[in-house]
Amino acid sequence: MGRTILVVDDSAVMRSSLKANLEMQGFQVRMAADGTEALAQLKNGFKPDLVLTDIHMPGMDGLTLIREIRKLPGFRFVPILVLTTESQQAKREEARRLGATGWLVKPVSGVDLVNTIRKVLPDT
Amino acid sequence: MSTLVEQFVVEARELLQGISEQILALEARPEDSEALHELFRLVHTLKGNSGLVEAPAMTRVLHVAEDLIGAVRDGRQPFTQELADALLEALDFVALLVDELEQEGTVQAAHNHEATRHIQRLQALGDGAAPEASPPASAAAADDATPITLEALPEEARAVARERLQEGSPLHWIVYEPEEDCFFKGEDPFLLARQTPGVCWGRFSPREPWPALDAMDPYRCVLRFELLSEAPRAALEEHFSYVADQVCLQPVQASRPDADPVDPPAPVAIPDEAVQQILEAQQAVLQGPVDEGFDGRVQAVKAALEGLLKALGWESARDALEAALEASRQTRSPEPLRQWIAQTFGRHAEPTPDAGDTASETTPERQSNATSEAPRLPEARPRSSSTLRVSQERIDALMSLVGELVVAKNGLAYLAGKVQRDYELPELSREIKMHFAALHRIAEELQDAVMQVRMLPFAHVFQRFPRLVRDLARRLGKEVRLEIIGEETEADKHLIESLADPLIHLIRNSLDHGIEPPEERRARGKPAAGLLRIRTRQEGDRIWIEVSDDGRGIDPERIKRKAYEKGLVDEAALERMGPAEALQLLFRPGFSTASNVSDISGRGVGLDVVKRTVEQLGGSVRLESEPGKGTRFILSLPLSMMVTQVLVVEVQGQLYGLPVDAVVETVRVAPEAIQRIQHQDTLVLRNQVIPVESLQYRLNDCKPSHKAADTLSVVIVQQETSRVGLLVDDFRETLDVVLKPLPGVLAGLSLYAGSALLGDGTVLMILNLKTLLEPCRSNFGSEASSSVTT
Amino acid sequence: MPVEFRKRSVVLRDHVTVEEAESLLSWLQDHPRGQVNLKHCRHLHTACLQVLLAARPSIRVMPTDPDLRRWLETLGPS
Repeated sequence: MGRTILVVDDSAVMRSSLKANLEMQGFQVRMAADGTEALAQLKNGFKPDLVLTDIHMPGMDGLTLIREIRKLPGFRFVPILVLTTESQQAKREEARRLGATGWLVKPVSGVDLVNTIRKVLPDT
Repeated sequence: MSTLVEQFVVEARELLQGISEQILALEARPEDSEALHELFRLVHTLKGNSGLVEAPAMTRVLHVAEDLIGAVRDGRQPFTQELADALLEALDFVALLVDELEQEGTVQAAHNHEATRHIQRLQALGDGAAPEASPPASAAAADDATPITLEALPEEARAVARERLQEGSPLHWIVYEPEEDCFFKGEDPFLLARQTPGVCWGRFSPREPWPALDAMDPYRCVLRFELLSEAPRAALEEHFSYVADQVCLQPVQASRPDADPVDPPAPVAIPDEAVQQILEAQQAVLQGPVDEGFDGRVQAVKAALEGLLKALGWESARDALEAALEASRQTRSPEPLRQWIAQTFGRHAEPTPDAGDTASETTPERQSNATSEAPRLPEARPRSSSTLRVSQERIDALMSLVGELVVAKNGLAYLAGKVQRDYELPELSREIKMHFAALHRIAEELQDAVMQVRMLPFAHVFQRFPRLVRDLARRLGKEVRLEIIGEETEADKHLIESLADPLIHLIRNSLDHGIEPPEERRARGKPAAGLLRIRTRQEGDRIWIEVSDDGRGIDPERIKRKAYEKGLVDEAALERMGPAEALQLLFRPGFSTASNVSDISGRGVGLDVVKRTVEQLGGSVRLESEPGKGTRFILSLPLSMMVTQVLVVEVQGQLYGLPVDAVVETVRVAPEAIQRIQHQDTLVLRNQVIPVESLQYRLNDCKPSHKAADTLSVVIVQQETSRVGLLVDDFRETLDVVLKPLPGVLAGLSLYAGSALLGDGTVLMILNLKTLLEPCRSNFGSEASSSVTT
Repeated sequence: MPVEFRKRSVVLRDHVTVEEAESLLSWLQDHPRGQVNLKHCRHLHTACLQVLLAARPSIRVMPTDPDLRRWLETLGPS
């Protein structure tokens, strides 16, 4: 049974790079270009095992998305990882405070991805 | 080029465009916080993406740019003109790297110097706004680095710990007390504990006594985890990085307090970026030529690398470095050292576990691995399901296939004719024609569909203009307001792209010659800032583009004088010429109104090139101007130009194609209908006198051999404002052809617009009516089509 | 299903998610002598682990997964 991951990033390059990486690891991937789109998918009954989101996005940004996801009844416990850059220390802490599980630092290698997901999803 | 790089390039260009737009917006309104946030976001995204491709110079510049913009956003730094200039230039540099990435697939290390220049400039501007430095990862855990002795461990753990210590493994004691509300952050502490690298013992216990079950909140985490791990400290810190504040990490010390600490002193944390910069510098040195200075240089590189290893605490890799240096010296090639760097530091400046056996593996091919780390990606996923990004090559391939289909389809029409003519099988011929009709319809729809795909909005080229206008205006000391209307108008990609240069030329022309300096404008009672307006609209199957300004306009008398001085027109022509006509002289080759050639529009390219380009696209350009009020260029172009419909005509057994758009009608007339008036054959058709030219004469320059035919075949064509009758031996069917411009030498034979391949494989020459009829128009001006009263 | 409630026992399989903690808790409340079968369990979320620790039901079968088994040894059949 493949785990499903929702990837939220406004950059198509970043999205498809993550998608390729994740699919190689046997995950099923759905994508959204911003928080609003991601939230709409979740509200529509899509229940991923993990949400992977960028922070800076036009429209609804990653931090708002985290807050909104935690408000949704079925998503109190879903692991959320934020994609950050080296310099976004403050954003990471903010994300954690708002309910993110952890973060990844861009550029994200396949190894980083697997190691990080192993920490938040069992059996991967 | 890998798909990833392709995608990166496409997206990087979009991002760069957006970035430059936001900078320009901020220049106009520095307080626009929305633009500022957007700018930050775009630069940030681009920087993130650049990490996916092999372009460290790009990432470095963007990193500094991001910091600077971040400082402005946080109010630590004002947005100044100087800052805008520096940013725009740095981004031009980035755009250059993107181009290189597209062409070469990589970015040359040679750009590092230039990158550093931009970085220094940006950093100088951002002085005082220290970048948001991330504290070293170990900072949080630094306090609890005091060792714990074996005795202090719980009894159950002690035996395991003792055993491991005897084996010489470094050992850490970890106490992890998750936050009570951690489940609501998606955490699973038990999982994290289980996944701890190098864990050799572990247990959990409640931090408080368990309540009665009916009072229990299962979602409040009250567990404590205790672990022993033999993984390196850095790996443990990394593993618990999200919960660093909830974890206590202590090295385990053997019982005897005087014994050497088991754990070697933790190496000083060196930022990746510093490592990268050192490595880049070494790579740059290694790029130098292999000359007498080579030995000295590799020695210096080796010394620098040695220092780096020491600082990183990777001294075990020194032997391999020594071997690489030796190999480099002996082979007099920097390759072994480069290999060593690539293998030891890899992509993220981390040592590979077995950096030791480098010397035995120094094959040059290995180096290329560094760039192929990124996996091949599947098709680009669009932002939403309604758009799909497809490379130009694919569309072009599809387009040329459609073209071939159209031509192949015409083969059926030919076949139908042949069946009818040579085999007299009308039934079969009719059937083929039916199939032809069906195919024709499908081909047409397919063609339309592909055309739709190729449609681009004008915004595609217009988006560069604000920056262009800004830069030009600043250089010329003018104030210009750019107004763009109708950028959403769409046209064929080829057309849009081909128009970029002519439009840029017109913009330059307006700024250079049209719009006056602010003082002059004020003196004339105009607003100080000139208005440059670019406007497009679609009308039927034509696109109209206007480039207008409210500048000083053009004096037709001056143009006439100039043209006369340059010998472009004779006195008589000058006399007859009206003001509107005089303005069109500007499009003549060799005409330039600027008294001295400026570096803006006087680059040896005149308006004649604009006209030529537009005409090559099947369009026309006109100029209107009112002295003192302004100038307006009006371009009119066909919406698409893929397949040309031609009327096939026969002259002396040869077939030629005439573009159908020029053909008004075909008539068969009695020989007597053609009369000679003033050395010109003419035909009176529906009360219009139409000059008649023999195509045979035009083509072969020999007298027409009027056969004693009962009727003559005349094709009436429209050439600009006048109509001309072309006498041919016969006309045939109309065909859709893909017009191919003539190659090489033949291109000089401008009687032909190009050639097309027919269904039976023969080549049809398509006539260029404009050049074909050039002489007869000058002889017999547009007044030829005046009405006759009979 | 990762959690199957039977008459006198609950069978936990694969990985038991955080969402199951509440139902597991209430089943154990309702079945004070209920037994737990962990044979095919490979991981259980901390929240569920807490419930087992607090309720201390008798574990009928320990997990076959060696790692989880080692961690849960303290819970073992006694």
